[in-house]
Amino acid sequence: MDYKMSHGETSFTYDVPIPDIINRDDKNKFLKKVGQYLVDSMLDKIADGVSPVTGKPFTKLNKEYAAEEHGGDRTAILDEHGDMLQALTYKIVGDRIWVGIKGDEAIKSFAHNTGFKGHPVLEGKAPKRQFIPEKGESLLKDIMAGIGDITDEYIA
Amino acid sequence: MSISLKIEKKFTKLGTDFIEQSKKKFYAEAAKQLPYVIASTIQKGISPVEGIGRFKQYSPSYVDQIEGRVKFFRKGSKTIAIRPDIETKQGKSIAEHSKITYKNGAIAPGKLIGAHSKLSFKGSLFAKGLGHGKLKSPVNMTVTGVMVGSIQGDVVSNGALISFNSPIAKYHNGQGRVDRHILPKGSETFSSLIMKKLRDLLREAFNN
Repeated sequence: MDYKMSHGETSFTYDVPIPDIINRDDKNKFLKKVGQYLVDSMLDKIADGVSPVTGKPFTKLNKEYAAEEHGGDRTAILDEHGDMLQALTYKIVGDRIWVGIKGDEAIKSFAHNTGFKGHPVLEGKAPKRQFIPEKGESLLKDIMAGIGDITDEYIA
Repeated sequence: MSISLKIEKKFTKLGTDFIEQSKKKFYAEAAKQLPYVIASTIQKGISPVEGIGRFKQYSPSYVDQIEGRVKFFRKGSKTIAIRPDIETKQGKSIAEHSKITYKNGAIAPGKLIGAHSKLSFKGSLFAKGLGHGKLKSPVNMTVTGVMVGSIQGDVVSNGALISFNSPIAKYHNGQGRVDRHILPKGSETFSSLIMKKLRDLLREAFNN
């Protein structure tokens, strides 16, 4: 996997094991399916307040903030206005799948994924809520196992 | 609105009784668990239909309605937009449009007709029911929860039937202005996320 964690891009690029048996037309459909599956699975975990990288629950929201903005629910789902998660997407790059956030929303993603690294006030104070894997990491095994199921559809 | 599930794969190496029993077990579990899985996916803002992903965000005009910043009314053939937060000497500001357009998150008036303090709220087209408890994100089809809650699963002859009983459901599946599919139709399939959960059910049915 390749990784990028910057203010302009937070992403990972996944080398998909593509079975030889899949023909050229099906390969693109297969890669799209895997890409969409990875994004959906990440969103699914985030919506539960769980990191799709570590499997651990995100640090709960501050009590006062939760009372004010989320009716008292302290589960952190990183979904205030929705713009950042809406920007989480995938792209097919050759035989690989790029998954991440690029552009204006990447800085928010960088902040959440790194614990506001470099921020003059919040670094060391605001919690890290990681949803993009970094070097040496991957998405949860449970998520990655689903790729095997998708592969089976194409070779069965 | 509904979809039915059926196992079409042939299991030539397994005993007929075992296969039939396992199929029945799978259909029963799918009818029981899949409605919950689909409803919870929708409420997380993710479409259960392949290729859609996160539901499209609300338009700025709709977010303004949710947050009570603007209300739309029909007056004859024209649409009237009111910004209750903007008051003029004459009253609340009103813009009259043949077509409401938005630019940079604000109303771009077709024709500003000034202000009015006594516009009747009777005949509101879009504002009814909004403004209380509705989230702008995630976009999860939940105002009162009745539509999402109307999903049910039934075992039918040789399959499981998943359906939404609410008549509103069809408007999200292509009969409305914005497609936010909540069940596959035509040649569509469930998303790989839902298929993974279905496969887990299938494995359980055939392993026990």
